[in-house]
Amino acid sequence: MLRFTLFFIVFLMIQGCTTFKTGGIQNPKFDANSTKHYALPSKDLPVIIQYYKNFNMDSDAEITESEAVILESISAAINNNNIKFIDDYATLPDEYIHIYVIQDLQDDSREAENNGIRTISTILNILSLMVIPAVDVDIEDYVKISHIKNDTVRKSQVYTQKNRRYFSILFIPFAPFFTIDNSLNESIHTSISEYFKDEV
Amino acid sequence: MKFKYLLTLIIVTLTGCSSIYHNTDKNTHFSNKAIVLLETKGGGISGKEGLKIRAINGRIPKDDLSTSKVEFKPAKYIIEFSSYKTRSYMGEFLTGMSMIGPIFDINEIGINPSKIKESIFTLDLKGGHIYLVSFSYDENDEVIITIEEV
Repeated sequence: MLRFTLFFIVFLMIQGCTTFKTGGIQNPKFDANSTKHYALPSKDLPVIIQYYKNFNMDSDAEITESEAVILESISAAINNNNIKFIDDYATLPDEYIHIYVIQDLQDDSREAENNGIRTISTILNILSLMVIPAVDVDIEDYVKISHIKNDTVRKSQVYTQKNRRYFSILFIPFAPFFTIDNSLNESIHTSISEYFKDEV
Repeated sequence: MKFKYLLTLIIVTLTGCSSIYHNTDKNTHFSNKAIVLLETKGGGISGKEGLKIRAINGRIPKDDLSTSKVEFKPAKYIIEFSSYKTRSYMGEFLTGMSMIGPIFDINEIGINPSKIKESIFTLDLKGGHIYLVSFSYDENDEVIITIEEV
Protein backbone atom coordinates (compact mmCIF):
# COMPACT_ATOMS: atom_id res chain seq x y z
CA MET A 1 0.00 0.00 0.00
CA LEU A 2 2.84 2.34 0.88
CA ARG A 3 4.51 1.62 -2.45
CA PHE A 4 1.23 2.32 -4.23
CA THR A 5 0.89 5.67 -2.44
CA LEU A 6 4.49 6.60 -3.19
CA PHE A 7 3.98 5.73 -6.85
CA PHE A 8 1.08 8.21 -7.06
CA ILE A 9 3.04 10.89 -5.27
CA VAL A 10 5.93 10.57 -7.73
CA PHE A 11 3.51 10.42 -10.64
CA LEU A 12 1.75 13.62 -9.56
CA MET A 13 5.02 15.46 -8.96
CA ILE A 14 6.23 14.65 -12.45
CA GLN A 15 3.16 16.25 -14.03
CA GLY A 16 4.39 19.72 -13.16
CA CYS A 17 2.00 22.55 -13.89
CA THR A 18 -0.54 22.66 -16.63
CA THR A 19 -4.22 22.86 -17.55
CA PHE A 20 -5.60 20.23 -19.86
CA LYS A 21 -8.88 19.16 -21.39
CA THR A 22 -10.79 16.26 -19.96
CA GLY A 23 -13.00 15.08 -22.79
CA GLY A 24 -14.07 16.92 -25.91
CA ILE A 25 -16.39 19.87 -26.23
CA GLN A 26 -19.96 18.98 -25.36
CA ASN A 27 -22.98 20.42 -27.06
CA PRO A 28 -25.89 19.33 -24.90
CA LYS A 29 -28.28 20.02 -27.82
CA PHE A 30 -30.26 22.28 -25.59
CA ASP A 31 -31.99 25.15 -27.27
CA ALA A 32 -35.29 25.42 -25.44
CA ASN A 33 -35.35 29.17 -25.87
CA SER A 34 -34.81 29.08 -29.61
CA THR A 35 -37.50 29.44 -32.20
CA LYS A 36 -38.15 26.15 -33.95
CA HIS A 37 -37.01 27.14 -37.41
CA TYR A 38 -34.00 29.31 -37.70
CA ALA A 39 -31.28 30.24 -40.09
CA LEU A 40 -27.73 30.75 -38.96
CA PRO A 41 -27.00 34.39 -38.20
CA SER A 42 -24.53 36.39 -40.24
CA LYS A 43 -21.11 36.88 -38.71
CA ASP A 44 -21.41 40.56 -39.63
CA LEU A 45 -23.93 41.19 -36.85
CA PRO A 46 -22.81 43.07 -33.72
CA VAL A 47 -21.50 40.74 -31.04
CA ILE A 48 -22.30 41.35 -27.39
CA ILE A 49 -20.16 39.61 -24.80
CA GLN A 50 -20.85 38.85 -21.16
CA TYR A 51 -18.50 37.07 -18.80
CA TYR A 52 -18.95 35.46 -15.40
CA LYS A 53 -16.59 33.43 -13.28
CA ASN A 54 -17.46 32.09 -9.87
CA PHE A 55 -14.04 32.70 -8.39
CA ASN A 56 -12.79 36.27 -8.60
CA MET A 57 -9.27 35.68 -7.39
CA ASP A 58 -7.34 38.71 -6.22
CA SER A 59 -4.11 37.29 -7.57
CA ASP A 60 -3.54 34.55 -10.06
CA ALA A 61 -1.20 34.95 -12.98
CA GLU A 62 -3.18 32.40 -14.97
CA ILE A 63 -6.45 34.33 -15.19
CA THR A 64 -5.55 38.01 -14.99
CA GLU A 65 -6.08 38.52 -18.71
CA SER A 66 -9.32 36.58 -19.06
CA GLU A 67 -11.39 39.45 -20.47
CA ALA A 68 -8.72 40.28 -23.02
CA VAL A 69 -8.46 36.60 -23.94
CA ILE A 70 -12.23 36.39 -24.46
CA LEU A 71 -12.28 39.46 -26.69
CA GLU A 72 -9.27 38.24 -28.64
CA SER A 73 -10.56 34.71 -29.20
CA ILE A 74 -14.04 35.88 -30.25
CA SER A 75 -12.52 38.46 -32.59
CA ALA A 76 -10.33 35.76 -34.13
CA ALA A 77 -13.30 33.44 -34.68
CA ILE A 78 -15.73 36.12 -35.93
CA ASN A 79 -14.09 38.60 -38.25
CA ASN A 80 -16.11 41.63 -37.27
CA ASN A 81 -15.27 45.14 -36.03
CA ASN A 82 -18.32 45.36 -33.80
CA ILE A 83 -17.45 43.00 -30.93
CA LYS A 84 -17.78 44.51 -27.47
CA PHE A 85 -18.63 43.71 -23.87
CA ILE A 86 -22.21 44.58 -22.94
CA ASP A 87 -21.16 47.55 -20.78
CA ASP A 88 -19.68 49.22 -23.86
CA TYR A 89 -23.09 49.42 -25.54
CA ALA A 90 -25.30 52.41 -24.68
CA THR A 91 -28.32 50.70 -26.23
CA LEU A 92 -28.61 47.18 -27.58
CA PRO A 93 -29.00 46.78 -31.35
CA ASP A 94 -32.16 45.18 -32.81
CA GLU A 95 -30.28 42.13 -34.00
CA TYR A 96 -27.10 40.74 -32.53
CA ILE A 97 -25.12 37.70 -31.51
CA HIS A 98 -24.91 37.30 -27.75
CA ILE A 99 -22.02 35.29 -26.33
CA TYR A 100 -22.09 34.53 -22.61
CA VAL A 101 -18.84 33.03 -21.35
CA ILE A 102 -19.10 31.34 -17.97
CA GLN A 103 -16.18 29.81 -16.10
CA ASP A 104 -16.74 27.43 -13.24
CA LEU A 105 -13.45 27.71 -11.34
CA GLN A 106 -13.51 25.34 -8.42
CA ASP A 107 -12.09 27.02 -5.34
CA ASP A 108 -13.36 24.73 -2.59
CA SER A 109 -12.73 21.13 -1.63
CA ARG A 110 -15.65 19.78 -3.61
CA GLU A 111 -15.58 16.31 -5.04
CA ALA A 112 -13.48 15.85 -8.14
CA GLU A 113 -14.62 14.26 -11.36
CA ASN A 114 -11.26 12.62 -11.95
CA ASN A 115 -12.02 9.40 -10.14
CA GLY A 116 -11.08 11.11 -6.92
CA ILE A 117 -7.50 11.63 -7.92
CA ARG A 118 -7.55 15.12 -6.43
CA THR A 119 -7.68 13.43 -3.06
CA ILE A 120 -4.28 11.96 -3.81
CA SER A 121 -2.87 15.42 -4.46
CA THR A 122 -4.34 16.59 -1.14
CA ILE A 123 -2.49 13.72 0.51
CA LEU A 124 0.64 14.88 -1.28
CA ASN A 125 0.08 18.28 0.33
CA ILE A 126 -0.17 16.79 3.77
CA LEU A 127 2.59 14.22 3.51
CA SER A 128 5.03 16.84 2.32
CA LEU A 129 3.85 19.28 5.03
CA MET A 130 2.90 21.78 2.30
CA VAL A 131 6.41 21.69 0.81
CA ILE A 132 4.76 20.46 -2.38
CA PRO A 133 1.71 22.71 -2.75
CA ALA A 134 -0.14 20.52 -5.18
CA VAL A 135 -3.42 21.75 -6.60
CA ASP A 136 -5.71 19.67 -8.73
CA VAL A 137 -9.07 21.12 -9.68
CA ASP A 138 -11.79 20.73 -12.26
CA ILE A 139 -12.69 23.73 -14.40
CA GLU A 140 -15.70 23.89 -16.65
CA ASP A 141 -16.17 26.46 -19.42
CA TYR A 142 -19.72 27.15 -20.60
CA VAL A 143 -20.17 29.19 -23.76
CA LYS A 144 -23.75 30.15 -24.60
CA ILE A 145 -24.17 31.62 -28.07
CA SER A 146 -27.51 33.14 -29.02
CA HIS A 147 -28.83 34.92 -32.09
CA ILE A 148 -31.27 37.56 -30.92
CA LYS A 149 -33.55 39.60 -33.19
CA ASN A 150 -36.14 42.06 -31.88
CA ASP A 151 -35.84 40.59 -28.36
CA THR A 152 -36.56 37.08 -29.65
CA VAL A 153 -34.04 34.27 -29.32
CA ARG A 154 -33.64 32.73 -32.79
CA LYS A 155 -30.95 30.16 -32.11
CA SER A 156 -29.31 29.46 -28.80
CA GLN A 157 -26.78 26.80 -27.89
CA VAL A 158 -24.66 26.06 -24.84
CA TYR A 159 -21.30 24.38 -25.28
CA THR A 160 -19.36 22.98 -22.37
CA GLN A 161 -15.71 22.03 -22.10
CA LYS A 162 -14.24 20.39 -19.03
CA ASN A 163 -10.66 21.10 -18.08
CA ARG A 164 -8.45 20.06 -15.27
CA ARG A 165 -5.75 22.20 -13.74
CA TYR A 166 -2.83 20.54 -12.10
CA PHE A 167 -0.14 22.38 -10.26
CA SER A 168 2.88 21.00 -8.51
CA ILE A 169 5.65 23.48 -7.99
CA LEU A 170 8.60 21.12 -8.04
CA PHE A 171 8.64 20.37 -11.72
CA ILE A 172 7.57 23.69 -13.23
CA PRO A 173 10.69 23.98 -15.41
CA PHE A 174 9.74 20.76 -17.16
CA ALA A 175 6.01 21.40 -17.37
CA PRO A 176 3.99 22.07 -20.51
CA PHE A 177 2.65 25.34 -19.15
CA PHE A 178 -0.85 25.71 -20.51
CA THR A 179 -2.79 28.23 -18.46
CA ILE A 180 -6.49 28.49 -17.62
CA ASP A 181 -6.72 31.42 -20.04
CA ASN A 182 -5.22 29.22 -22.78
CA SER A 183 -7.87 26.58 -22.20
CA LEU A 184 -10.61 29.25 -22.14
CA ASN A 185 -9.39 30.52 -25.51
CA GLU A 186 -9.68 27.02 -26.98
CA SER A 187 -13.16 26.49 -25.51
CA ILE A 188 -14.46 29.73 -27.03
CA HIS A 189 -12.88 29.08 -30.40
CA THR A 190 -14.28 25.55 -30.61
CA SER A 191 -17.75 26.65 -29.44
CA ILE A 192 -18.02 29.38 -32.08
CA SER A 193 -16.80 26.98 -34.79
CA GLU A 194 -19.48 24.49 -33.75
CA TYR A 195 -22.21 27.14 -33.71
CA PHE A 196 -21.37 28.33 -37.22
CA LYS A 197 -20.50 24.86 -38.52
CA ASP A 198 -23.35 24.75 -41.01
CA GLU A 199 -22.87 28.28 -42.21
CA VAL A 200 -22.94 28.52 -46.00
CA MET B 1 5.02 4.60 10.23
CA LYS B 2 2.98 2.72 7.63
CA PHE B 3 -0.05 2.98 9.87
CA LYS B 4 0.34 6.76 10.08
CA TYR B 5 0.33 7.12 6.31
CA LEU B 6 -2.64 4.82 5.94
CA LEU B 7 -4.57 6.66 8.62
CA THR B 8 -3.95 9.99 6.84
CA LEU B 9 -5.10 8.43 3.58
CA ILE B 10 -8.32 7.16 5.12
CA ILE B 11 -9.14 10.42 6.93
CA VAL B 12 -8.60 12.52 3.83
CA THR B 13 -10.55 10.14 1.62
CA LEU B 14 -13.49 10.13 3.97
CA THR B 15 -13.71 13.80 4.83
CA GLY B 16 -12.14 15.84 2.04
CA CYS B 17 -15.01 16.61 -0.30
CA SER B 18 -18.23 18.54 -0.41
CA SER B 19 -20.95 17.58 -2.87
CA ILE B 20 -22.07 19.45 -5.98
CA TYR B 21 -25.21 17.31 -6.33
CA HIS B 22 -28.28 18.26 -4.31
CA ASN B 23 -30.78 15.87 -5.93
CA THR B 24 -28.96 14.95 -9.16
CA ASP B 25 -25.98 12.77 -9.93
CA LYS B 26 -23.09 12.86 -12.34
CA ASN B 27 -25.07 10.99 -15.01
CA THR B 28 -27.87 13.56 -15.16
CA HIS B 29 -28.00 15.24 -18.55
CA PHE B 30 -27.46 18.98 -18.75
CA SER B 31 -31.00 19.52 -20.00
CA ASN B 32 -32.39 17.79 -16.89
CA LYS B 33 -30.52 19.80 -14.31
CA ALA B 34 -30.12 23.41 -13.25
CA ILE B 35 -26.63 24.52 -12.31
CA VAL B 36 -26.19 27.14 -9.61
CA LEU B 37 -22.77 28.80 -9.54
CA LEU B 38 -21.83 30.68 -6.37
CA GLU B 39 -19.38 33.55 -6.44
CA THR B 40 -16.27 33.70 -4.27
CA LYS B 41 -13.95 36.69 -4.05
CA GLY B 42 -10.42 37.08 -2.74
CA GLY B 43 -7.74 34.44 -2.65
CA GLY B 44 -4.45 33.58 -1.05
CA ILE B 45 -3.40 37.02 0.12
CA SER B 46 -6.59 38.59 1.45
CA GLY B 47 -8.55 35.49 2.45
CA LYS B 48 -11.72 34.46 0.70
CA GLU B 49 -15.31 35.53 1.06
CA GLY B 50 -18.27 34.00 -0.65
CA LEU B 51 -21.75 32.57 -0.51
CA LYS B 52 -23.04 29.15 0.33
CA ILE B 53 -26.42 27.51 0.37
CA ARG B 54 -27.64 27.35 3.94
CA ALA B 55 -31.08 25.85 3.47
CA ILE B 56 -33.24 24.44 0.69
CA ASN B 57 -37.02 24.62 1.16
CA GLY B 58 -36.46 25.45 4.81
CA ARG B 59 -34.24 22.46 5.52
CA ILE B 60 -30.50 22.40 6.04
CA PRO B 61 -29.11 19.91 3.48
CA LYS B 62 -27.79 16.62 4.86
CA ASP B 63 -24.75 16.73 2.59
CA ASP B 64 -22.05 19.34 2.88
CA LEU B 65 -22.73 21.26 -0.34
CA SER B 66 -20.04 22.90 -2.42
CA THR B 67 -19.52 26.65 -2.06
CA SER B 68 -18.88 27.07 -5.78
CA LYS B 69 -21.39 24.91 -7.68
CA VAL B 70 -24.57 23.00 -6.84
CA GLU B 71 -26.82 21.11 -9.25
CA PHE B 72 -30.60 20.72 -8.83
CA LYS B 73 -33.42 18.87 -10.53
CA PRO B 74 -35.62 21.41 -12.33
CA ALA B 75 -38.31 22.63 -9.88
CA LYS B 76 -39.26 25.57 -7.72
CA TYR B 77 -37.07 25.94 -4.61
CA ILE B 78 -36.84 28.32 -1.70
CA ILE B 79 -33.12 28.76 -1.23
CA GLU B 80 -31.49 30.51 1.69
CA PHE B 81 -27.94 31.76 1.23
CA SER B 82 -25.40 32.60 3.89
CA SER B 83 -22.03 34.31 3.58
CA TYR B 84 -18.65 33.11 4.82
CA LYS B 85 -15.12 34.39 5.15
CA THR B 86 -11.87 32.47 5.41
CA ARG B 87 -8.45 33.51 6.61
CA SER B 88 -5.63 34.27 4.20
CA TYR B 89 -3.02 31.58 3.62
CA MET B 90 -0.61 33.63 5.69
CA GLY B 91 -3.11 33.72 8.54
CA GLU B 92 -3.70 30.01 8.22
CA PHE B 93 0.01 29.37 8.29
CA LEU B 94 0.44 31.38 11.47
CA THR B 95 -2.45 29.62 13.17
CA GLY B 96 -1.31 26.21 12.03
CA MET B 97 -4.36 25.63 9.89
CA SER B 98 -2.71 25.53 6.51
CA MET B 99 -2.72 21.75 6.40
CA ILE B 100 -5.93 20.76 8.07
CA GLY B 101 -8.03 23.84 7.30
CA PRO B 102 -8.81 23.05 3.67
CA ILE B 103 -9.88 19.54 4.58
CA PHE B 104 -12.18 20.18 7.46
CA ASP B 105 -13.24 23.72 6.52
CA ILE B 106 -12.39 24.83 10.03
CA ASN B 107 -10.70 27.92 8.66
CA GLU B 108 -14.16 29.47 8.57
CA ILE B 109 -14.42 29.50 12.32
CA GLY B 110 -13.68 32.71 14.14
CA ILE B 111 -14.41 35.15 11.33
CA ASN B 112 -17.71 36.94 11.43
CA PRO B 113 -19.44 36.70 8.07
CA SER B 114 -21.13 39.79 6.66
CA LYS B 115 -24.87 40.29 7.07
CA ILE B 116 -27.01 39.59 4.05
CA LYS B 117 -29.74 42.09 3.21
CA GLU B 118 -32.03 39.54 1.55
CA SER B 119 -30.95 35.92 1.95
CA ILE B 120 -34.03 33.89 0.95
CA PHE B 121 -34.99 33.57 -2.71
CA THR B 122 -37.74 31.62 -4.46
CA LEU B 123 -36.18 30.27 -7.62
CA ASP B 124 -37.89 28.43 -10.44
CA LEU B 125 -34.88 26.43 -11.61
CA LYS B 126 -35.14 25.21 -15.20
CA GLY B 127 -33.27 22.36 -16.82
CA GLY B 128 -30.38 23.33 -19.10
CA HIS B 129 -30.03 26.71 -17.44
CA ILE B 130 -27.21 28.13 -15.39
CA TYR B 131 -27.91 30.43 -12.45
CA LEU B 132 -25.14 32.88 -11.66
CA VAL B 133 -25.17 34.01 -8.05
CA SER B 134 -23.06 37.10 -7.39
CA PHE B 135 -22.73 39.48 -4.48
CA SER B 136 -21.68 43.02 -3.70
CA TYR B 137 -21.80 45.26 -0.63
CA ASP B 138 -24.02 48.24 0.07
CA GLU B 139 -23.03 51.35 2.02
CA ASN B 140 -23.74 49.54 5.33
CA ASP B 141 -21.42 46.67 4.38
CA GLU B 142 -24.38 44.36 3.98
CA VAL B 143 -24.25 41.73 1.27
CA ILE B 144 -26.53 42.24 -1.72
CA ILE B 145 -27.13 39.03 -3.68
CA THR B 146 -27.99 39.08 -7.36
CA ILE B 147 -29.04 36.02 -9.36
CA GLU B 148 -28.95 35.88 -13.14
CA GLU B 149 -30.48 33.12 -15.26
CA VAL B 150 -28.53 32.17 -18.36
